[in-house]
Amino acid sequence: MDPEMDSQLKIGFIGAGNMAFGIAKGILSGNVLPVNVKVSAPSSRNLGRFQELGIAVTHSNVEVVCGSDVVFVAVKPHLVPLVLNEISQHITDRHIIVSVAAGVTLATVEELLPENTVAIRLMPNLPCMVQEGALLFARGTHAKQEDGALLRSLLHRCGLVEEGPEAWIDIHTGLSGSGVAFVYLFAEALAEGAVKMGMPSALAHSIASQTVLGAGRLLRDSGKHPAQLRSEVCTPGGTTIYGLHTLEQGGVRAATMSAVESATERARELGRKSAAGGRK
Amino acid sequence: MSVGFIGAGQVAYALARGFTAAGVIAAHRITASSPDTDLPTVQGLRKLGVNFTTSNKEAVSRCDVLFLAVKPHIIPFVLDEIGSDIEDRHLIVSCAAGVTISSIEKKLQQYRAAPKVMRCMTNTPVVVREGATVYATGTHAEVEDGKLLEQLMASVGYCIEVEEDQIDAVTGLSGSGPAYAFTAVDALADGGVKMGLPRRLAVRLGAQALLGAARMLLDSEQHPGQLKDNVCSPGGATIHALHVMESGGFRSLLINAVEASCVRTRELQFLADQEKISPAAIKKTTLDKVLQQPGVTFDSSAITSLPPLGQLLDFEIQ
Repeated sequence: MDPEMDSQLKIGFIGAGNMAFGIAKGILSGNVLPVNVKVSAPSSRNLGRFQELGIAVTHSNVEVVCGSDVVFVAVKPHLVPLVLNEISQHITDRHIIVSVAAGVTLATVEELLPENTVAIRLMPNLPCMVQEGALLFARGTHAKQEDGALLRSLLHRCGLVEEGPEAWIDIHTGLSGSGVAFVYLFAEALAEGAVKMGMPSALAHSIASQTVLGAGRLLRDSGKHPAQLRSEVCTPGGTTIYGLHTLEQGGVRAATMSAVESATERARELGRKSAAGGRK
Repeated sequence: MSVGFIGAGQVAYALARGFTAAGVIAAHRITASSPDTDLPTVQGLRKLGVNFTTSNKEAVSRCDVLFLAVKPHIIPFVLDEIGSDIEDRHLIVSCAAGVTISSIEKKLQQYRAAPKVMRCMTNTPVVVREGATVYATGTHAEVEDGKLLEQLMASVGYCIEVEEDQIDAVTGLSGSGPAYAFTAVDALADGGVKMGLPRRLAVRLGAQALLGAARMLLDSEQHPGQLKDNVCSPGGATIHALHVMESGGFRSLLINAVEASCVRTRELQFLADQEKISPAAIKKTTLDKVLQQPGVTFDSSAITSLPPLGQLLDFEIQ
């Protein structure tokens, strides 16, 4: 939100995977300069694409922490304790630590870092990679509103950014983290339906993906309730209402609700396990 | 203006009661006819102050707007009986599910060049003036006839003109709709009783919930999906219940029901067009009485699949 502030900010990434990359790209679309961004990873495998963006790379997590104000911890969940132990003594009160690790609670993060560390837990999703993510963050004990606002302003080019209590993060995981895969499943099935009816597979898939994209755009940008949009597509006695009837008979709604429920429950379970010190 | 009903069953009673409660016509200006004087609705009609007669011809002569409120397969017989009694002033309004305007016009044109025919599909809540009625206009009915019918029917609920080819769908939806609602309330009440409520209270609350929700929806610009969302607090009781309903295929069940009713309506129309009556569709006593009416002939080719009348069992009319 404050362009001048943003351009002075130093951002660090521990971990160079897809999530880190997606977030980095989004951050750079704002006012943060590449020269102020640094990423660390144990191997050089994933660092190339960061370098292409003008981002500095290193193998040293400590170097990233010391040179940054905001540090995204974007490593696999089971590596988080290791990484936090390593960097803990270098954390000062200017740092904001943002954990992107699924299932790792704020309590766990805060336990491993110095008292009074400003920690935020962030759950992004895969489409961050194309700046169409859905991101939910929860502030830790010492993270103030301004810290949340800062994060929000950094991330707003990554997609939709919302704040909530930590309890919502597991739900967000089920809905939007896993939800992306549910949509892929649906797209695949749409295409297969078309193939069954005689369309070549490649074309069917291409059209299916555009259909999902287009519908998604309309849904987001119209501000209308999905039920309203659905009604608008259904001409009386037309093809759509026939297809929808078949979907209803297949219990798609209930199955989808249950899918979000299962994924959320699993996220909660994983969170409990990791808090208890178990591995993922 | 006087109104006549051929038929003194549920539809005639509901409309007569609604009209009189609305004050749109006085009871003594309504006449209803039926060969069957044992119907409970006949008592009801008499209590309203409606003129009751066993002569369809008398009902015709005493009215200007004539509602055909008999079962679909009886319509051809009735039209044969009263065809010669129809005058220029008469507006014939058929309430019979599945019976087309053209089939009625065809029958009546044997007696009169330009019979004024309309077709409507209403439902029983007209009795409490919350009916849902649609109507379609026949070849020789004027705009004023439509307005007149609309005025009558609007006094007992919602009324709108439609294309005739939509009427079967309306039958499936709002014609049968009250039955779906009664079933729903009965079941909801069961749920209430199971969870500890006395039956009467449960029924009252179930009905009120449906009534209130319907009122909210009718008064709102919002999509029912949005109104549903408004009731579902996150992680709350309602969303849990809705999930259960979705798992049971609630929505598709309702879609199936409307479809089944609509399809059956079309079947009935087909049967009526053929003037063929399936044995299962006739109540022996009613057919006997219908056939006793002067002017009604028993076209033997029409009922080829029936055993001799004396052997007909007492089936319920569908």
